[in-house]
Amino acid sequence: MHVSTLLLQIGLILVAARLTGLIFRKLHQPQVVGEMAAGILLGPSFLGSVAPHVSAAVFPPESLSHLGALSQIGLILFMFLVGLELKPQLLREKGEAAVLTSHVSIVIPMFLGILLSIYLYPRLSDDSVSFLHFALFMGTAMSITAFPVLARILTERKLLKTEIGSVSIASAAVDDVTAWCVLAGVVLMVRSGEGGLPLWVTIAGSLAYVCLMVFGVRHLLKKLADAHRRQGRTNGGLLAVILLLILGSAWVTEKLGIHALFGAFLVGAIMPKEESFVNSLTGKMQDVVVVLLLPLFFALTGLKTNIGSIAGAEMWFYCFLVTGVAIVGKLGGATIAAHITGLSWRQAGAIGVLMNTRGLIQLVVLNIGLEIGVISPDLFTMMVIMALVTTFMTTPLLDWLYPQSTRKPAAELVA
Amino acid sequence: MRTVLSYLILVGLPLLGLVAVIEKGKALHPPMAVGGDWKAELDQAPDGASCSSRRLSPAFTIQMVQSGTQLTLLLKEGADAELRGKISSARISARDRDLSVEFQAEVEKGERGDRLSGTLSLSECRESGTIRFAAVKNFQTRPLAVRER
Repeated sequence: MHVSTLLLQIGLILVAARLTGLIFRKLHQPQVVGEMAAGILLGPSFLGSVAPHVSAAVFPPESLSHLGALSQIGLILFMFLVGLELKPQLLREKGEAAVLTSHVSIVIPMFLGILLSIYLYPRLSDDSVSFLHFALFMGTAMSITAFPVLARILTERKLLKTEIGSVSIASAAVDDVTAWCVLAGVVLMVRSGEGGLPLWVTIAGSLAYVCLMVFGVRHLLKKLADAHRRQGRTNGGLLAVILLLILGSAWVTEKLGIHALFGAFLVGAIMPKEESFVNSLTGKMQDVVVVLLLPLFFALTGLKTNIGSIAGAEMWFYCFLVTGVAIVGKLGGATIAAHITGLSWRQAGAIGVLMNTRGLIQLVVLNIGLEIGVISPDLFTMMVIMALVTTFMTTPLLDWLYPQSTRKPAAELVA
Repeated sequence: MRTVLSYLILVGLPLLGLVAVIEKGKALHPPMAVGGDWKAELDQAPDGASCSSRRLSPAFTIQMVQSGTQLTLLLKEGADAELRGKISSARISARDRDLSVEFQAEVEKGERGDRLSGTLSLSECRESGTIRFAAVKNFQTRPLAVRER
């Protein structure tokens, strides 16, 4: 493959992502929703359908592996940033409201997702996938909240310091960690049956690795934060060490049979959370990852998404069912739980809407599911539609349910 | 107390239900897995001057993309057609959008690899009748996410 093809692909993807992002911003949507939509537009659902020759010339199948490698690097760095944004003290500060909301908003959609699997498994899966793997994956995919997108929406809407902002961000943090742990378990179960490492080696190795990172490497990372504090900046050497740690951890978890992304997420999660250190690292990486590499991932996801394959009333019914169950489980579950903890229905509803944001984390999870063969291409497309719908509906629903005039800062409410 | 009770009802009960649902689901029977690439050969090579020889080579590839009972079949490398169809038990039936190609086949699972035997009908080549073929899935391939064009 010529480098020129890759450069053309990257250029086209960037133009599409920025333009669509801009249009979606005009619609009061986060930029990322537009970028997700750009990926779909570049795939068989639109470009491949209206201009198949252009699509075949720009995205020849043999060239996609290069694009895939670049997007994997982007995802690894992005998952590190997601882990880096997690702040364990958020949960401690919000106490029972966050614990109940987060646990309910995981368990209810997971239960409904598994219940839905009873109906979908004989219709959208095949006998190469066990029901247990299928159901656990569906449950996990239903219980995802896009922590990074949620954080962006809360910041853009100036909701971060309100009661609903702090409860939802803390709950989303717990959701993220829990969902990744369950997903790691599913990947591990599926891959152990494929002739890789024996299951017990993967489980023991994964546990030992997590312990090593949490109780050993974390202390070393504090030294890196100290070095940053002394120097007042993140220099090239420090950044190189952190990048090596991210790539090394991703390599270990990939070799252990759970996905490379878990390793990157783990390094981010155990990083010291000193604000200046976190801001400095985020500043160094975020622009390249978010502006350049993530749109490549969206485009690749779009190339795997063929909305045209959802043909006929039966398939669209499944799609509506998946989307409906996802919304009822997440939005409904989080709303009820938040109301029980003492919030008004309006506030609780706003938390439910926020927790229902699937965003790009859902796309990451779905790509893993497709890669390990636990979901079929059509179900993948349906779940991508669900991710887009749940993310797209967040801001208009939030503005309707919780308008500016009703917002109060958290401190005021607590007092 | 209210929170604890809510926790038990909203978290504990669904968790118990989840276990019950997974147990129930284990008894379900999904369709047979046929996704992947199949190497097909015609039982009898068509006459070089015949209509069907322009549409089909003696050997071709069938790429099957499966989503449950729904199938998309790409006939390539010696054929060129995109068919949509279904699998019911071990029987596959598919046709293309303008109904010019009809595909019927039976899947046979075996320890030495899965086999497929069936017929193709080309509406524009009625004189050829149904064309018999056999295919073997001689290498393990996952249902493809990005279809090759």
